[in-house]
Amino acid sequence: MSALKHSPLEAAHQALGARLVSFAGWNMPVQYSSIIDEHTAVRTKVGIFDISHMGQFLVSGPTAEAWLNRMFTNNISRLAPGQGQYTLMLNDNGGVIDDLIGYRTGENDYFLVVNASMIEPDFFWLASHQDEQVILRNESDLWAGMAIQGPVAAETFAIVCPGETLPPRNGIVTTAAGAIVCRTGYTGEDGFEFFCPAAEGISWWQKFLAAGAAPCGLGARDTLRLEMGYPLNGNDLSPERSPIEAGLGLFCDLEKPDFIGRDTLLRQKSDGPAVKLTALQYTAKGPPPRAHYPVSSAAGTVIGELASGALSPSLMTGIGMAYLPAEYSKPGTDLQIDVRGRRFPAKVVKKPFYRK
Amino acid sequence: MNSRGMPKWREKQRSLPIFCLAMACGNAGMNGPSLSGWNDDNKLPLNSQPSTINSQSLPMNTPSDLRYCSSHEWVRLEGDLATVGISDHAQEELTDVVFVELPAVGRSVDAGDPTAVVESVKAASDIYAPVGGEVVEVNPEVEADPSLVNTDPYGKGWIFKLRVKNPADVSNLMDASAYQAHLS
Repeated sequence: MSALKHSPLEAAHQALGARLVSFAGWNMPVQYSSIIDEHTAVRTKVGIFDISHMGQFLVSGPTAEAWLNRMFTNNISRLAPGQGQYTLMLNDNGGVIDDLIGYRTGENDYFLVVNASMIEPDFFWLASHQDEQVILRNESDLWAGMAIQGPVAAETFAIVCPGETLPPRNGIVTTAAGAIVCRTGYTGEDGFEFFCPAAEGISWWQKFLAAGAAPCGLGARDTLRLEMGYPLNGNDLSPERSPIEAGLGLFCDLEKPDFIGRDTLLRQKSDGPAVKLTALQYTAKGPPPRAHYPVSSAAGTVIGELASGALSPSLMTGIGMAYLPAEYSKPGTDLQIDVRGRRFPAKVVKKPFYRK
Repeated sequence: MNSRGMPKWREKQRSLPIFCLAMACGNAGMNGPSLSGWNDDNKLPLNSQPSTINSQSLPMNTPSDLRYCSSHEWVRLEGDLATVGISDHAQEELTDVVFVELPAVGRSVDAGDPTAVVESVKAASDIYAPVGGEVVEVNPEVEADPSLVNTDPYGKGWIFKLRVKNPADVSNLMDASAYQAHLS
């Protein structure tokens, strides 16, 4: 394994007494005080996450729109400049390479935010399919990133960036100070993601803290996203699973004439997927469900394993997602989760697990 | 104590232990299937915590009437009855204890056997028997309210009691000053 990468905000995390762990090749804060407290701060007020590990690609050129429509599942033509969308990049078999957000920043300019562990593979895949009129740049090392999330995130923004206007949901703007602000997130709360030149990162981080944002680590980020049923690449998404199986058909425009992986999605859509990423919730007290715990039917047959699992700090019960045969994916179906050889009752629920 | 379970993280194919408490305790530090898939670069023994954390958290509360394991269990010996819990340092490392799995009363254990499980939001940790004996009592209060392990680790947060085979084994464990030295 190559050397750990360091966030431009690392010194700030250390000063706060954060617990740092190796994550996706990066030395990142998993928690500052308590995952439950940090989770609650985001659900009730506002928290800030270091997302400098995530990757940023710039794509531009007269054929960029058509090229990105071939590379990604969603229809990027639907975006006006200043708008963004969740989308997926698939392999030739329709399996997920990565999920990402693509923003249109100009008529022929796009800003992509990809998962940390996938920066190199994504860039390689894109470059190996590159259109000669498209310019593709990996700027991941140039940017610090933070996600400010929670019901009062907009007030926090107003304090830190007076005179600036937050973009509408899924929108993107560049501030006068040269920061990129996206009204997106991974928590289910209102909020925004803020990208600035790496050297300015700590100064902005301190401003957001001073404005009341609670520092939050990857632990809370994981429980927050799971409560919303948002997938995590590497857990809930993989090259062996399609977005149709993952329940992400909404982000795949099958009307587009062509994109990589489309044939598989069309077939699964018409036949119905054999397996579905299914949301499960305990119906009684039990130990926190975790990834790889076996899932069995009410009759006791093992039918899959958890892709993600956690004790939900908002619901105070176990939740998880598993790829299960479609016949077991109907809400209300009784199932069991196996924890260290003991089976705990759970039932299939609709996503999101948590609603305000 | 030893982290187990396989919490996973964003953008990651491999599992990642969050609080991989030191593995040197007793002789069972590497027991069980829980470590499969963990990678050396992801392990985070307590003594490799950044110094900022240690300097904030020391001196830890380590009562002098107890004995300690390097895997962070404590033992209080009264006659041949040993009460076992996890240290203040361990509970602080785990944070947010949300579930305690207790052993069956009557079970015989050898020193180093995984005997209970304490789970925080992100990780499950084995609690090892510090010495051999028979489980004669478990604490139903920590099952009902796992946060007692955080709020009162040496009192209401005790986990199980052993009728020890050989009480002298307890004196071979670390005393408070040795455990303090182990933590620093």
